[in-house]
Amino acid sequence: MSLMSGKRSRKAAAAGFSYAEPASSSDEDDYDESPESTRQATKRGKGKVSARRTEDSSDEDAHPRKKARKGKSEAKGKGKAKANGGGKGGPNLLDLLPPELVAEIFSHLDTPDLLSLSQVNKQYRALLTAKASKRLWVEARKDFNLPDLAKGDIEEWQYASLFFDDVCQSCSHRGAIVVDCFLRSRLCKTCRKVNPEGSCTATRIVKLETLDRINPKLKAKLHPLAVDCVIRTPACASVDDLEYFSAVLRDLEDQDEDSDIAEGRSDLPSPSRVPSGEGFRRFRSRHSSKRVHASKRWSKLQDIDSDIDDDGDSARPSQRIVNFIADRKVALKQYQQDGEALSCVARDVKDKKRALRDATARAAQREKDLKRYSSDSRPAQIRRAVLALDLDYDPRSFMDTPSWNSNKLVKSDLPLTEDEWSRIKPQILELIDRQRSLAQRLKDKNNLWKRQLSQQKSLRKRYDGLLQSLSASARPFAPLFVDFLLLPAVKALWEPGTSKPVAENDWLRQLDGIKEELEQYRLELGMHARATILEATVDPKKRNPDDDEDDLDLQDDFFALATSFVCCSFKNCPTRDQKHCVWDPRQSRSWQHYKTITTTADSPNKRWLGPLVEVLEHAHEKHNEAVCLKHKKDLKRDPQFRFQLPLEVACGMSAILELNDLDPATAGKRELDHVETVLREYEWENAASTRRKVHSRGGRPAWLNLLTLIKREGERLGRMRPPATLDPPCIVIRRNKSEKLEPLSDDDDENEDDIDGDGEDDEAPRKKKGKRPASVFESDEGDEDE
Amino acid sequence: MASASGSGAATGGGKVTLTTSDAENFVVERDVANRSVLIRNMLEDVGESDQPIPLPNVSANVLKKVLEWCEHHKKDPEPIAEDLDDNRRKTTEISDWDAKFIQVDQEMLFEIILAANYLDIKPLLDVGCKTVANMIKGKQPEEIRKL
Repeated sequence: MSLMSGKRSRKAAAAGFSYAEPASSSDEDDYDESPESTRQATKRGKGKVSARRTEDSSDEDAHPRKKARKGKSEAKGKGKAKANGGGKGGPNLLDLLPPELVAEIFSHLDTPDLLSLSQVNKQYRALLTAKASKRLWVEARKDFNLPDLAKGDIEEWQYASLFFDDVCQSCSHRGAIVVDCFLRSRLCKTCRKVNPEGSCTATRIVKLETLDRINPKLKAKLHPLAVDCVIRTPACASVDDLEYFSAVLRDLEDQDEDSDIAEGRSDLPSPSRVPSGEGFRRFRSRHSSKRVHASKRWSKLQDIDSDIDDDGDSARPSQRIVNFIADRKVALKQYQQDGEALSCVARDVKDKKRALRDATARAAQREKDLKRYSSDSRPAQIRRAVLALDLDYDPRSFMDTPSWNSNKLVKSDLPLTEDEWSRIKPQILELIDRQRSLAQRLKDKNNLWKRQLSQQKSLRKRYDGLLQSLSASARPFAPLFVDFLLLPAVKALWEPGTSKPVAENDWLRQLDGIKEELEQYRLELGMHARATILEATVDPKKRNPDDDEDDLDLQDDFFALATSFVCCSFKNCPTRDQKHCVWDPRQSRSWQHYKTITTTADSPNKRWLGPLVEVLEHAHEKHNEAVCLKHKKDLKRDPQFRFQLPLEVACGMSAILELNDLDPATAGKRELDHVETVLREYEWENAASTRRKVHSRGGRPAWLNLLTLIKREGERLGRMRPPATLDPPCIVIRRNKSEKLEPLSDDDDENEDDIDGDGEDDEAPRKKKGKRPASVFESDEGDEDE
Repeated sequence: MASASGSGAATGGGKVTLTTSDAENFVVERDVANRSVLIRNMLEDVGESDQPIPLPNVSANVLKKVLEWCEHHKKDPEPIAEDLDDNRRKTTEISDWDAKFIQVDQEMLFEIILAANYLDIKPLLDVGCKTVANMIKGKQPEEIRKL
């Protein structure tokens, strides 16, 4: 019997068992067939134990014995701690049962369960990662049809953890794990992401071809031949592997240099010692990272830019290295085979894993339900007793609520006897009363909110009328409807929540007040806009305090400047492609509803990014469809201004201006659009995404598309936990040399002499007046035929 | 059903007396006692005898529980050795009666497993192990720690 044999050979080394089995007992030694041996085994005599242990360990090397003692003492310590401290857990399985019974129990478990068990504590871990437990894992993994590995250099439990653990090997992040059958890695999406810039230090998988361009630092650290030793897919390899094998190769080099008889050496390190096979990277990385810098010789070589082919004799690989690489080649072939076999079953394993998890969850739920709803459970008894009281209202809806179920009167394990019931009856009734009044209050609140909503809706038409009555120039500065509702004068109209729509009289009475507040809103909006722009574009130290107090004209040139462009502050604006985000409570019950609008009519004067007025117009056009407030919590907020200027967008804009030799003090939208006549495309050098080249598209100019990308990326990073900030965008311009930019006809301020630049920006990168400098480069790709 | 009997002597007519570690005697029918391979072997070895069978590893309350199980399962056919192995491993299903029977506190559960192991009652041992396995199944390491 397989399980028993596994248990038989489990040495005392495995964990702190109270006694050990003879390691020599064969696989055929069956439980059923040999009750004698079992009987013997169950008799736990101290003397016998020690006798057996010596017998057992005599044929073992010293190492496991040491381990065994350690395990034993650990277990004892644990047990004591439990006994003294009155630990939360029950009696320890391993302390109570002899190992063969523990093995028997474990044999009923699936691989994920075994894995969980191995993470419970040191004792379980030592037991389950011991060689003797191999059979357990093998048996368990048969359920998932996982093949035996041709290159069997990883332990069974490591094999299992590769597929069944849900923790990233690199960052310990849980969830969203991708198992790579070829690289034998289990990484989260962040660590896996093949980052073109390599700026993310967490990236554990790199593209080999582009490594010298995107991550020269790492490339310099690596041994040139390490690439031949690592497990790799055609394009990628793991950073850890590369570092590990660089260290190994350098050690070899070191040894060879030390002695002249290197050629004669034959003791190669085993080619199968592969770090990526191990299930838990953390154990290894400590080790391997130390070794990376082990070779002093390498650091010398690094300086003289050693390339194996160019450098002649100094870097020619020694015979041992050649042999080592040849050995690795054979091993890699096996890895390749394993990878193929594994990738065939990977999907299947994933499905089975999910099915297993679902089944377990269902079983747990069923058990819970059974417990709760079985007729002789305490909650059910109380329920019957309450119903029997024949109250003048129906108490059923006030029972079985979460707070009811979690009440300790209900939850208690005591059986409900007559005495018990008479004792808790008043408290139970009180509890029900409390639930009842709570429910009533909630109901009232909801009803009020519903009436308020209908009143808000009745105001929408009047709001539209009011907007029409405003002059065209003032209209963009009026609040959106959702903000309009929150003006104090308007709020007074709908907040009482009477059942009838808002009466005409009330509206007229408030109209003057409303108009006044609209004017006030307009002024505040202007101030806020100015403050926002200055905050993003001007260094706080250099800011002139008078600026803020200026009485400003909203139409003035300041807002027309490209540096003063603001963005629409609505979430997901600009949306991708043709989708446009609107919230429409009439169409969807979910608050965020995406409605597809066929927008080719992205009017060039009402974009999400541009001068303040245009952005406000954009907001009125695209985001003003709501007919009432979204959430109850909106009641508490003040009217908002629907624009913003994220720092990264401001940085991007100043970079664009600088690239095009536009004067930030005068350049506006016209100039930006004019540049487009000969511009080919922008390239965002340090973009994290794969989309880096931007040109004009869908009637939108390239600069706008570029800033769209930047804003989206910034938002994405801002949403991350913890929030990250975007590096200042580094932008390159690509334009055709042959085409000269015609000077803008009626603009003599423009200096168009040096459109192409001279390949290098002589100016020091402009220091962004905010927090971060926008480093700007210009490169000419004029030779390209386009 | 098993019942404690004050007289130490075995009653005839296929009855067997078992003595627990705390010196309590149980008189049971022979086919109930035969569920235990240990006792069966012992009876075969000894032949007809009035001597009570000592069970120094089992206490009275555990033996009572075990005998309850034996009583219920006394008519079960002997499982065939080969398909035992295949079926046993994967199914963690326990029959309703057994599930109810095994609903005891953890200490008792382990005692039953130990007793079943000692008395060599394979099906009961299976029930016990499956119950423990079910307690572990589908749980995270933290949850297992709290068990």
